[in-house]
Amino acid sequence: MPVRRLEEEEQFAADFNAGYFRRLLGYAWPHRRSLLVVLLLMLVGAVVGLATPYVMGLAVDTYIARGDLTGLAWLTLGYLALNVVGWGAFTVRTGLLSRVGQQILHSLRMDLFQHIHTLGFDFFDGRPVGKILTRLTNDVNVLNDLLTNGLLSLLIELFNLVAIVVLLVSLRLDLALVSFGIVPPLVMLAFRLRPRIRDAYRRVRTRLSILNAALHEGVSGVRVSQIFARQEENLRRFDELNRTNLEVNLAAARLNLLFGPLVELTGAAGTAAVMGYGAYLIGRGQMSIGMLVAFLGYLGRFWGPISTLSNFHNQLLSAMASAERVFEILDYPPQVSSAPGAPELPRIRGEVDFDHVTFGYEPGRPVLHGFTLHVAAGEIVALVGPTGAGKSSIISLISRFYDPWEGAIRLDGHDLREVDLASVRRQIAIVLQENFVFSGTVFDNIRYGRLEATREEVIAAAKLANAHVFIERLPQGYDTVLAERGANLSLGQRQLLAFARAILADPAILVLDEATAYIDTETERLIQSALDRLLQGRTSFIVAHRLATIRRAHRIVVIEGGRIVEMGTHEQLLALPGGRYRALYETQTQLGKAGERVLAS
Amino acid sequence: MHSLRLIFRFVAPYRARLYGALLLLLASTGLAMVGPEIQRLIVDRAIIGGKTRLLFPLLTALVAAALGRGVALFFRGYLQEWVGQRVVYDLRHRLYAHLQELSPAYYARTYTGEIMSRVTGDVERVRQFVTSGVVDLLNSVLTFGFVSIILFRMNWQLTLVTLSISPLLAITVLRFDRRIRPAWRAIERQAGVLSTVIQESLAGVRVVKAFAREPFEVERFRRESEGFADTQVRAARIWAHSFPLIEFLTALSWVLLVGVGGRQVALGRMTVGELVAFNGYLWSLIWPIRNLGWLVNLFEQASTASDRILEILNAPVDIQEPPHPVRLRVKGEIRFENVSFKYDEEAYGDHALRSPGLFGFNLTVHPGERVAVVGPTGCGKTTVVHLLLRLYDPQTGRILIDGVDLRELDLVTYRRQVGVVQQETFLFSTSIKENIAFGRLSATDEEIREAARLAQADRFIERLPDGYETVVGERGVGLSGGERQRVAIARALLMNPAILVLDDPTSSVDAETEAEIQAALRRLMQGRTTLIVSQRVSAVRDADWIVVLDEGRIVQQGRHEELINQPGVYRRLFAPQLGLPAGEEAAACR
Repeated sequence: MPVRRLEEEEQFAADFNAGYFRRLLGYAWPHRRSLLVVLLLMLVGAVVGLATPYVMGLAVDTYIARGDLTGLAWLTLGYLALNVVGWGAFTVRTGLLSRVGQQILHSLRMDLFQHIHTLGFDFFDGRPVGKILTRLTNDVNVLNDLLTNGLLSLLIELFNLVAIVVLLVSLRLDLALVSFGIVPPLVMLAFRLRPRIRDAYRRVRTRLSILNAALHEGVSGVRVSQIFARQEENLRRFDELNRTNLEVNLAAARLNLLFGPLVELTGAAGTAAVMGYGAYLIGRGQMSIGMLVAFLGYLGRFWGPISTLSNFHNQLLSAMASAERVFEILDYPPQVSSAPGAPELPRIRGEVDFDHVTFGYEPGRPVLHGFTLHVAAGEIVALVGPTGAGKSSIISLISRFYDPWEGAIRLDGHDLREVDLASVRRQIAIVLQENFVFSGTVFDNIRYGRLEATREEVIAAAKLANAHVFIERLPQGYDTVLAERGANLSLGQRQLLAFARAILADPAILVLDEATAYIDTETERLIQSALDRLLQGRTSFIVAHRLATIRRAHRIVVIEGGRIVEMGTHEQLLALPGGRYRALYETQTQLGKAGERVLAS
Repeated sequence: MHSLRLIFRFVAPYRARLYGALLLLLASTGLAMVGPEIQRLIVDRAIIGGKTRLLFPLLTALVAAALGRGVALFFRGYLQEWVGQRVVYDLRHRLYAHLQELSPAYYARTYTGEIMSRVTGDVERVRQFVTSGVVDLLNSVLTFGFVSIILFRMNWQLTLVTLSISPLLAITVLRFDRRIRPAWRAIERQAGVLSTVIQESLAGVRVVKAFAREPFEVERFRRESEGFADTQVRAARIWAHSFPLIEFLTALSWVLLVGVGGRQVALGRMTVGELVAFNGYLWSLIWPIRNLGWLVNLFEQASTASDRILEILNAPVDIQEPPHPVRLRVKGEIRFENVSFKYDEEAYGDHALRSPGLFGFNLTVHPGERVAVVGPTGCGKTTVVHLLLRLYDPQTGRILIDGVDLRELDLVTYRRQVGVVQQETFLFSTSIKENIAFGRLSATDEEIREAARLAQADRFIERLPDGYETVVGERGVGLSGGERQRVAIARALLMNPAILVLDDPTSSVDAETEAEIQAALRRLMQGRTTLIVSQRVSAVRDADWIVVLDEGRIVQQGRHEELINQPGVYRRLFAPQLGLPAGEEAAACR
């Protein structure tokens, strides 16, 4: 299947931003000493490299031409010693740089990860996991690469360039000027041709990710395609993308393949020019052969600095784009956070108060209007109403996932905003429609509810939640390792696990948010029979459509448009003529009545 | 090397181009040898020998050789690239075509991520190998051989001296390669762990927040992030111990050249020009050896990659087209005759254990009839659907459509006449219009709109940003479960199928939406043979006939009123939904 529109491409390059750059340097600053040592060691390496052509020239002119074998031996030994030093410097700096780089990376990753976990759902809702993941991995890597490799090699190559120019000019000005002739074409290649190649490969990457997305879709939608006999059409469309991918690849290759030969050709032309003029000078007795050899040696070293400079420019721009993405997260404000010095919420009995709460997700469009509800400790409250009525908002507010615009929510009389956030959430457990299962053992997954729980406590919780039986049947029981996202469990089993997890946390308040919506009949039976035990002695909020679940409630609250429209026990509400609850009940149970009649007859 | 056969099979059609690349390789390597030789002539003849009239032709030759080599390099590279790209084009085509035919059980036991890494990463490794592997290997061998011969003829003592470094260099390079690979694998593994931690803590953020487990997650991340940094530093250490040594050994060759060669020149056993030429050739003696590690790597990677690709291509396709397919205009009679099916445990592992299959299944559905199949989870309901759609063939017994064995039908024509609404509807990342027309490409806009209207999907579609042109699916606008199901119903309506399969279409929507969808489903079922599989009593109670499965066998059948009044699986399953007592305790099905 074709992917008509690729998600808007992540930006590849951004303008230089001094503020971001300073903040980035801030991450390197603690390591300035190590980085300085690395720079010095790189400098040693550069000097050793620069010495080679000079030594060659010196050897030819001073010792070889004159037959000074002892001098030659000393020179050789000296050069050998220099290389040993270069070897050592290279070894040390490689290890050091990698350590520093990894430390910087680690602290950048930690800052990001820690910050992300202070953020509210407003951050997560609009963002696919994959995009955040990319920032924590790729973007952070790009930044680190700039800070360590990029900046340092830029400095070293600049040093190289200046050193070569100074050396050549001081050796012989006119020949130096001839050598410099090689620079403009090299600069052209580095700064003109290379960006075009880069663009071409960018197109290649875009096309490849479209192609891979189509492949992915072909694989994940395979069942539908087979059922609807769409394979041929799919293959035809896939081939189109495959073909385009082939073409952009070849176009990029054509450009890229020009590059190496052109650099080489430029080098050959430079060599010819230097040799020609050098031969002329030597013929007139104005220069030695050794110096010509040295010049030829340096000629090949122009390319490195020029190439690095053009690369750095590009690296800087793409690092800025990464910095923008990383700092966007770091600067994102947390939605709710504990007030500084807020006291811990003591162990509560479970009294919940909504006091004239107005709340919404978009400014000017409140979902709850002056919502007031008092729930006594140990009471079971069912929230009923159409989609979008505000049930989920009420539940989110209890755990303080959001703060209300107006009014207050109190637990045992404590305003949520005035106590420590974590101490609130530790006393509330939520079971959702679909509950996340972490990779790891069944045991670890249940224990997520209370990290210090013992094995016995975990098993006891599983038994309470009717999860024990299926867990025991797993290959390694509680120690069975679950696949990513619990793929080796059924939806119902994951749900039972979530109930066990919630029970283990021994919460004062238990929230069931459509917890029985998607499960199969078998699991539903297990949950219904466990539910009484689970709700015992806790304040419970139940959002559900299934009457079997709702009927347990001490009080049913019918919500519409963010307001309470009916409230009472099951019997009271059924007695309301023309009531909403009664209408809902009737549509769901007319079948049941039919069944009852049959049974009665 | 055995496993590289796959690659050779795919390269074979393009071998003429590879031969061309090899010819150009000879040319470019040969021309590379010319440069230093010309430099020697310039120094010895033109400069020292004083024959200045030779200078200009020699310099021209130098540039011409570089030009010729450049041209050869370009075309050689292009031919290699062309063959490499073409081979992966063919490979992708084959993979995609094959993946589309593999059975649901194959997908049940294979992770999508695993398949994706093969069709992306492994295919890329094959491309690298085809593009550069063989030619680069030959290039290294040729260059090293040519240069050795030239240098031996020029000055065999000096050649032996400089070559004395080569074994040491080769050992270092290969040892580095051997040691760095486990380190890289460790990095890859740890990167995977780290990314799992990130993904889980983000995807599970609701659970994390609900239990206030942020500190726990941060701690977990810190541990893995540090572990990741450690693996990187360890790899860097291996690199730091090898690469500078490789550089040093390279420099050592130069030291030997200057020391020993300089001595020979000083003693008059060698000319200055020869020393310069030697200097020019030296790199050609070193890079092939430095390349060894990369080449070994390339070969090994390509070999494991092609193994992994072959695993997909060799996965058996369960369904074969008949030799003389019957193109049937389906009226809608379905007959299962003593059908048994069991998932092959060897091929499907876990999946086979979880699904019992089907035993001695008999069922006749007359045209226009509505039959429901119910039963506890994992008791063979889905197998019935899969067999009817011929995603598998039964091991014994047969399935007849209007009296013709399903195995003799032309599969495409048959499936086009069967409409299916599944438990979860997969939407492709394309316009909602195309998603509705999925089963009938030729549908007009009016027909699509009409189908959407009948499925009660028109109102929400018109509210979407681009109406019927809105891109949905993974890369487009997300639709709710209820909206997806309505698209699926429209999709089925548009096909106007003779047979309709409803595979638990309301199990993943809430009760309100279910009631709305039921209305659209009733419209869809009108006048069609319908097979319903469901967990909801509301979906099955109106069926003309209900079959109750348990452990792959029929345990009860009849109409709703009869079944609900009998003790048995049916009452046990559905009584709670009707607010009735379930009767006896249920025995769990596996």
